[in-house]
Amino acid sequence: MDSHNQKQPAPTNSVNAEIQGCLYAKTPPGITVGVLTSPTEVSPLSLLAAGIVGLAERCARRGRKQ
Amino acid sequence: MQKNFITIVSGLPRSGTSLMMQMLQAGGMELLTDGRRSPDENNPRGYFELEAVKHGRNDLSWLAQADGKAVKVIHLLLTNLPTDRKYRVVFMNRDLQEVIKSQRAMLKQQGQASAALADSALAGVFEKQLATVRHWLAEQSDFSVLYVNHREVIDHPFMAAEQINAVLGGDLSVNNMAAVVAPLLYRQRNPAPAK
Amino acid sequence: MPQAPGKKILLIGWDAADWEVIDPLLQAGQMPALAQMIKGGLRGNLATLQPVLSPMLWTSIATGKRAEKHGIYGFTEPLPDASGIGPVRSTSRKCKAVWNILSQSGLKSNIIGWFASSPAEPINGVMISDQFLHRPIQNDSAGEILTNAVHPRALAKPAADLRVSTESLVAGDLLPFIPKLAEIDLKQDDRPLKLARRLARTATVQAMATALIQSEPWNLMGVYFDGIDQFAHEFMPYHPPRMDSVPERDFELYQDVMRGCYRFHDMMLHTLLQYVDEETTVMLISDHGYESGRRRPPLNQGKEDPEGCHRPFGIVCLKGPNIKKDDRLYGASILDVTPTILTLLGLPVGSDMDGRPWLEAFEKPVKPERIFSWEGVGDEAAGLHTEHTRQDPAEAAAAIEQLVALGYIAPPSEDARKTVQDTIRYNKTNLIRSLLGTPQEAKAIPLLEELLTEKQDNEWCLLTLARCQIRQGKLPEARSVLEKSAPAMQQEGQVQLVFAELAFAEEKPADALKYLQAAERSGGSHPALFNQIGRAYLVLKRWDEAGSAFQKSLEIEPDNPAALDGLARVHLENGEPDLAVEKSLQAVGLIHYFPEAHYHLGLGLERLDKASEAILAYETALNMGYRKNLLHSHLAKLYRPINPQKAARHQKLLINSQRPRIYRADINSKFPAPESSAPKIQA
Repeated sequence: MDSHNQKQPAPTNSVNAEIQGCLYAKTPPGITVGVLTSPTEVSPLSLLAAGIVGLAERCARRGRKQ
Repeated sequence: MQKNFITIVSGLPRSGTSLMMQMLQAGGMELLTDGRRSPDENNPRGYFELEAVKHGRNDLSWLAQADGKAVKVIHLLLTNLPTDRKYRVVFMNRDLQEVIKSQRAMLKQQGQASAALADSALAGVFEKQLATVRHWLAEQSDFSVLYVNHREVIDHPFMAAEQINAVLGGDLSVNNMAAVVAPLLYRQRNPAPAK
Repeated sequence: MPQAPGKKILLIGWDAADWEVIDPLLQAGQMPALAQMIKGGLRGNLATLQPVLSPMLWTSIATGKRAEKHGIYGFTEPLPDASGIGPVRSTSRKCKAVWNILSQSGLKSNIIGWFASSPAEPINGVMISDQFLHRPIQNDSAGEILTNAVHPRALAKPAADLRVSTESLVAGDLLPFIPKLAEIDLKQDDRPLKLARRLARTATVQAMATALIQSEPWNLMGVYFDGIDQFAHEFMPYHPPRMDSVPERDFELYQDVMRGCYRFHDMMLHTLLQYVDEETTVMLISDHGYESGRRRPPLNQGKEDPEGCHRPFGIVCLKGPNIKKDDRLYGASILDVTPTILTLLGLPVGSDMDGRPWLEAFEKPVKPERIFSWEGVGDEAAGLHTEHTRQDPAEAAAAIEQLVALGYIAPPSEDARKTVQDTIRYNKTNLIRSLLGTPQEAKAIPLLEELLTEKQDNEWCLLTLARCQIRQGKLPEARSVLEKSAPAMQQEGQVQLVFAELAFAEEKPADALKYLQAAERSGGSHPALFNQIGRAYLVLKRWDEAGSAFQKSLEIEPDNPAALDGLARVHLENGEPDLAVEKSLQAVGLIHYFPEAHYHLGLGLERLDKASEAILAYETALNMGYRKNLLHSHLAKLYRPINPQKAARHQKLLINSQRPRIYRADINSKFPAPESSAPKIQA
């Protein structure tokens, strides 16, 4: 089991895009839990659902913010 | 001469651990006991226990005075002992039916209820406990173990005493150890199997 | 991706998933992954077992056996040294699980998060146990990772690295569940934090599943998610429609949580399905349902009685090669999952398993092999714990208590001792409940008597003992128990119900009806009560009143199989066989093991001149051991025009069953001397 899997996130096929569209939500102002960097990115929840591949991308995003 | 190991006498309760403690004392080994439990009908010559040992991991302060001495630790509490020092274990084995009979008799004498389990179920649990302990001991490099059969001690005390003395350093009086064995104490004994 | 040779099964468990929540989401197109699975496969209800407690149920799922055979009786059990209690352990399980059977058959299993799977068994494959997932991340250092909770141990560190911490979640993770998150003062309201914790744990399971599914070869991938159940116990009260006990503001804030939870699970399902091909059979199940409508307990009452929130039917969805498409599965039980997995993998089903493989799910007929039992065969390769570590925790605790009584071990604190004793008592009660209504019910009697020895006025035990005695035919004993203890009992309604059962058994239906009406007057309104009232009216041939009673039952619980079967019987008596067939089909569609309902179905079909379907229904009832004479008679009649040989066989079986038997003792005993009259042997 490799915790730093080199695979790309799951391909954004039409079903996946539909799922993201349904669940994407903009961050209201004043939230201190965290921020979304761009509305065009795959939603964080989709990355959680994507499992190990998604975790790698979330890690990479945190790295880009720092 | 101060020994650099702790002698542990272990086994199921009523497997002959008190008898072994007496033998070691007679042979010249110092015991670590507090005499808190007085002799009674179940152990007319005493229990040779140390109360602190019964608390397992919650009280290991007694270890500081244990080098070169013998202390009684029942089988289940062996795995609580820290593995940062040397131990030589004399582990008493006795027929499980005799052990259970003796335990139930002791509880009855004390006016207490014994486990609401059939003898066979209780024996099954004790077998698993003993197997777990044996398995653990086999993996511990700091524990040297001599398994001693209770019946052999009663039937052949001199031979048993010689074996034990050899493991514990060789400076015990074997004659005095053997002289402790008194068949009258062996009250809950099953008949020896026919040869 | 490394592959294991042979067939593959992906088994996904969604604890507490319920079609009543899923179906509206499917209709709205909000669970597309599940919708595709249903379209290409089968769906059905999955009947649970009593008591509805997840560790017992998920172990029944993994073994194909009821609790009495598998040995897991609750969430907790005494610790090995009886110093307290801890989560139930895999060493307490008394029989093999499906992963053990696969191990000894040379097949690989990857199992994640299954209930009662810690310490991890040394199976052929990977086991990430439930306790590994439950351990808080912040307490871990490299040395403290629970290495005995993962097999092989080398995977413990990589698995630990995959755990998703609550602190790593961002606003975007929570907003789909709580769109008005910004309006909540997180210092005053900890519900968003509770949601975040549950989400983190669910995401951890998904991370481990997606890692293992591609990196470790497998024939069976078993992934257990407790997310829906955990979310539901906290947030189902806020699901629409708003309950009176829920403040409007709270409803406004949290009404989207459960929908979000199910949709997130669908997203995870979609991900997992990307990693399997068309040759893999995918099985999605839940152990029980969860009340989501007007039968939900009020806010806060649900937390005090979590079992009261559960519904008796979970979900099953099955898709794969040789599985029927766009079809329904009827009469499935959680006991059937392991037998079905074994059949799918070409392995024999143990005759000691309590479930059945879903043969009707296969497109091409499959004839499963059977063996007497998997127990005691090939144990050395089954990946079991060593013999000496596996033991009954209640027996182990009793032995420790004996050593404490002897004065060789310091006693635990009084609190710890009481907790251990309470846990043993609670688990014994669960075992009793699991035996009721099963062929092994007689085993509950000595257990009830043990509990009564500890507490003579335990009302539940007294009433349950009387019920068991009634069903075992020990009517005088039951009457003695009831008459002695009834005057002091608080639960008047329950007492009346049991007296009614006794009256039924004594063939006094009018007396039974009086007791049942008294129970209704004292405030009873449970489906079981109305079913019993209906039963009394049936025996008294008061068909309309019987129908009303069963209808009342269905108004409370539309999926009540006994009420449906009762109505079928009423329709038969009223000369309405088509309606009888409709109701019977509904009943057996919910519970397969319901011989009476199969019989009524057969009667209805016979009266509609549908002979071959009637034969199938009667044979199903016959195989369940129901009223053999009656069934042989019907089958002989129906087979006569179409298969005279089978008709003759049933006729012969009917005649044989009516003959007085010659007992072996009579044959072997010596006859008296010739001058005495010899006993006659009847032909």
